[in-house]
Amino acid sequence: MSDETLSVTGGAAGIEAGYTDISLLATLLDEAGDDLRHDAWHDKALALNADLLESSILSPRTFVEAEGAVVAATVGPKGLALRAVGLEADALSIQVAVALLRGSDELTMQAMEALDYSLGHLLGGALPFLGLAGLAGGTTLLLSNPALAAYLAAHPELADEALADVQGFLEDHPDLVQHLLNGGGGLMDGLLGTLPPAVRTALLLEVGLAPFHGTTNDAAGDLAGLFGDTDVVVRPGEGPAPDFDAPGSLEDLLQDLGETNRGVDGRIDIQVVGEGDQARYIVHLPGTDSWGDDPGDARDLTANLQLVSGQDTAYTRGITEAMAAADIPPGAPVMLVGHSQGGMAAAHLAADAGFQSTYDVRHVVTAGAPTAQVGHVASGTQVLSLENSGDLVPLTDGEDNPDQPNRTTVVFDGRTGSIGENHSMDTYRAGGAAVDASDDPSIGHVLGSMRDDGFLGGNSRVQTQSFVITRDTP
Amino acid sequence: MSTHRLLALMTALLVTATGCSDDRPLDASQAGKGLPDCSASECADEIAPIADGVAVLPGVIDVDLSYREKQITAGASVTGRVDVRRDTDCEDIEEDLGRLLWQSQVHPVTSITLRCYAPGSEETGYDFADYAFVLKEAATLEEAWGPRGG
Repeated sequence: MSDETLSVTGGAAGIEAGYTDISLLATLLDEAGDDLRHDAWHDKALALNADLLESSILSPRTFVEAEGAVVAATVGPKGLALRAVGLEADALSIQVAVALLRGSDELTMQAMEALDYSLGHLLGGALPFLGLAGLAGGTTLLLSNPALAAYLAAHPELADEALADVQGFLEDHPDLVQHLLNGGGGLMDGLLGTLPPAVRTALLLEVGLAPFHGTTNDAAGDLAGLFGDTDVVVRPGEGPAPDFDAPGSLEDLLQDLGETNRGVDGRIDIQVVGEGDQARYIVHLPGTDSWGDDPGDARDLTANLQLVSGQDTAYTRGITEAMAAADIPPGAPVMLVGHSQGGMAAAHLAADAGFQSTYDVRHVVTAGAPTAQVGHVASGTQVLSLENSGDLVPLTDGEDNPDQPNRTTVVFDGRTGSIGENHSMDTYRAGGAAVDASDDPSIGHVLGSMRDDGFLGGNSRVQTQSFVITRDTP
Repeated sequence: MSTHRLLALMTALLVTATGCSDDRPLDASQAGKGLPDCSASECADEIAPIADGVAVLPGVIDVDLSYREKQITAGASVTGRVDVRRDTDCEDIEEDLGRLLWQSQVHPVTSITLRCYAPGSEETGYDFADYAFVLKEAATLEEAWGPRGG
């Protein structure tokens, strides 16, 4: 995979970092203007200097010349004072330009939100009728053309090819998928809107749904409430955990996460790199284990919906308990590495003030995880998000990840022709290798800081503890 | 014809009508689709020839393989353990693992991942010997190792 197949947003060389740099430049210009203006008035006072005034008696002509020169250099048309005003005006224009650009970005985003909601609402309202019409039309077509029906029945591979085409279409048009998903709130409202008002009202009251869902996140939160939550049980993993070498690269990190992922449902691993004061803690967080068919699984559909809507989950609570059980000292440097739901959990915890006050969360690496729902992550935490352009899972937040100096998003072209394989750990490991090989400045900055912070590339001793997080169900 | 197949067919017609074309090379992870699905039997018969092939690789002392079905977050894989001689690097056998998996009848499968032990290693002190088909062109592997499935 070549560097051209990577698309990088955010991070040290991202747009927001550019805005911040430009604003800083404007502040410097403003301060220089202030200093210059101060110097101009100070120097103008030279014209009133007592010695200079006395010299006027001895040499009136040179006195006038000197006075003139001082006034011209300070408050004259080409003097310091006017230049100071010019600098301050430039600073102001730059600040205004940056504010306008930021406002324009925000307006565009709000407009897209409204558009996606409207499209979702339209689709939700039409879906039942489209489905019925399609079914009726298809059935009529087949009934009236026995030869076609027989041909299709004799060639089941056509349906498989059709499914493959649909997969190909979806992985080739992630932007369309993202807009559809971003209209999830509208879709839900549109579907509910097709019900007769009395039925709709009764349904909303009965199941406790809100009547309006402005965003996909609102809809996800409301749906998560239907499934309910449970307490969590955290126990040490069975058998000794593997003692890998310290990870030397992002690919190594994702390979280790893949090994955790191959363990039992609910397993997480905590690696300790180095010893004593030099200890660094890497927490490996795999993703969804089941869609809810196993009541003991903490990494289930409910947790996905909760995380998309920004709520705590049994999984995130279990991670916190496991980290305490692993005796990670308060304030210790921590890296969270997560795939799929594990990445969502990692980003969620990194944005949690309580979690941040307990640990020094230096780095978060997410792979195949929707993280746009996490609006702000403390500036001391670097977030690196890997997304495969053919993977639909990272799109389920409905939006692009925020472009912030401490959040770098790398989209790589890892389309395999299979929606499932596009999301797999193997594919993300290959994406990690491509990121390692990249010379993009934002990537270089974030990987460099992982090395500087001692999480990557060291030869330190590594010890690993495993924990298993399950729901506390009767 | 079931309803979902009918809907898929209609959607595909729509997709075709909108001019979608897919000229990407076939990914190696999708190359085994013509082989019979052996996941119901955990591919026991299909794995045996891979184990035999690994056992005679230079530097290999012992091997134990099993089949892991597809997860939500990972493709199906052949997993297990291989013991190698002290002078053998686990990475040295990875290409052969890929070849043996490619030439096998195991389907569905996208990777082989073995815990690789040197003599005297503790149970937790293993390395990896693995090979994944994802993001590799099927044509390239076919040229090197023959058709998928042998």
